[in-house]
Amino acid sequence: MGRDITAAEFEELYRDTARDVFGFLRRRTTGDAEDLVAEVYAVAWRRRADLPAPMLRRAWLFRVAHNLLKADARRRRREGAVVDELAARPDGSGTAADGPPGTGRAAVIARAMDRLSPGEREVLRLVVWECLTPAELAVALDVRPGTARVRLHRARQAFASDPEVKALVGSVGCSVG
Amino acid sequence: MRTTPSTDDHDRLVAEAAPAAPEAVDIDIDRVWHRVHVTMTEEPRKRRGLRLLAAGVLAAGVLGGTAVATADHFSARTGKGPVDAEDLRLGGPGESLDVGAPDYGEVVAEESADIPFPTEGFRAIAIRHQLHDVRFAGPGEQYVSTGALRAWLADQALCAWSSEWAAATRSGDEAARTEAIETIQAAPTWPAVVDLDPAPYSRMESGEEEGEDGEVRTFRYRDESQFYYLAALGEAVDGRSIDAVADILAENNGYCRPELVPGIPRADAMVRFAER
Repeated sequence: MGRDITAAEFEELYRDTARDVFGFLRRRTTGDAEDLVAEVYAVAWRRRADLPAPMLRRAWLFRVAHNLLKADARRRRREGAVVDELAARPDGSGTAADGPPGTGRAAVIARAMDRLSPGEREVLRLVVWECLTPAELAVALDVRPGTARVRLHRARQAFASDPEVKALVGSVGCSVG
Repeated sequence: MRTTPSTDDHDRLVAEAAPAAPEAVDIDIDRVWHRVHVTMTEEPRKRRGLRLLAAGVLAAGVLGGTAVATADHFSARTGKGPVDAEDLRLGGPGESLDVGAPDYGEVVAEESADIPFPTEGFRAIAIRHQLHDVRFAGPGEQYVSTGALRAWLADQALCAWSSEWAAATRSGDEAARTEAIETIQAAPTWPAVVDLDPAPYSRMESGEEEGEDGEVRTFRYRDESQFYYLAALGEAVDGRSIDAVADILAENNGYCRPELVPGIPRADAMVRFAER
């Protein structure tokens, strides 16, 4: 609310956050991330009166990016390209049956992620891949902070309770890091 | 159904599932900015005046109408507190501060005065971070309670003290280590902590959520108060594991940015994430 962000301030916001938005999009689509990043900031400029507090703007931009990705997927579906896209998508967001076969660590994790609901999967991605705080997560999901925390809790529980993840963590003492 | 507790190991597994994404380089950033800038300059601006008017009305509403001062005597101190219990719960106790007011920096310094920092240099860094976070806010746009601000400053002070503790633990400077331990363990009594979180808690709560099938389900989750982690932190600094202290801070204190934790960099959650 209040005075609009100036063009100079908007450029500072862009330069502070563009790499993160690029990363967000490149982890979620094989489409042209550059086009989408440009559109994210074009939308953000048009809606600059709606920008949240500075510390929450990165998360708000992720929400815009997520909505654009959905719109892009709808467009691709209409154009018959979605099959190719899903086959090539790096995040493996198809169904559980689509998960990579095998017993290797990467395959196990990918299958477990696939078995989560789309909402749970995205909550974990936002917090772990994009390093959102619970307050930022609330902005990205457009929900109240308490709801965001609950969703995060449930997503983490769902992932941790996956039988293959339990076996992986238990069998090797989670030799990660 | 019993569930398995999620641990840091599980987050690491999720992190491993992140597809490799090439980082945008400067030329990418500049090229896209050029496209965005063209879009910005093409946009008609005929509704701008209306938006400014609406924003002014909204800001007045937030503060009950009387605290939106004219630009010539704007102050961060509004004299207004939480309007109801929900406002208190979500926004914190104390006076609402206008973070876009020209004297906000002075007010942050005043509010930090009774919060112990190891050095005035660390205090200055903490204040600078607070101001940086709201650098785009204009007068009358955004508000923060003194309770929330002071709690964040307390978090920052604990980052700095933990950094001092880590440095002293490494070097064997027992006097400095003892001072840091005593300060950190006294943090639960700091007014800035007590005002916001007088009785730190960790407890199971129940919630309801509507599933995709429309059915409402009840579930249980753990809820922890802002400074619940202080008990664990106070216990950890009695030991000598710097990683253990870093883990507690990284998971519970979001303000341990690099300048505040030179002696314990892994207290910065971003550093820890980058190591994965």
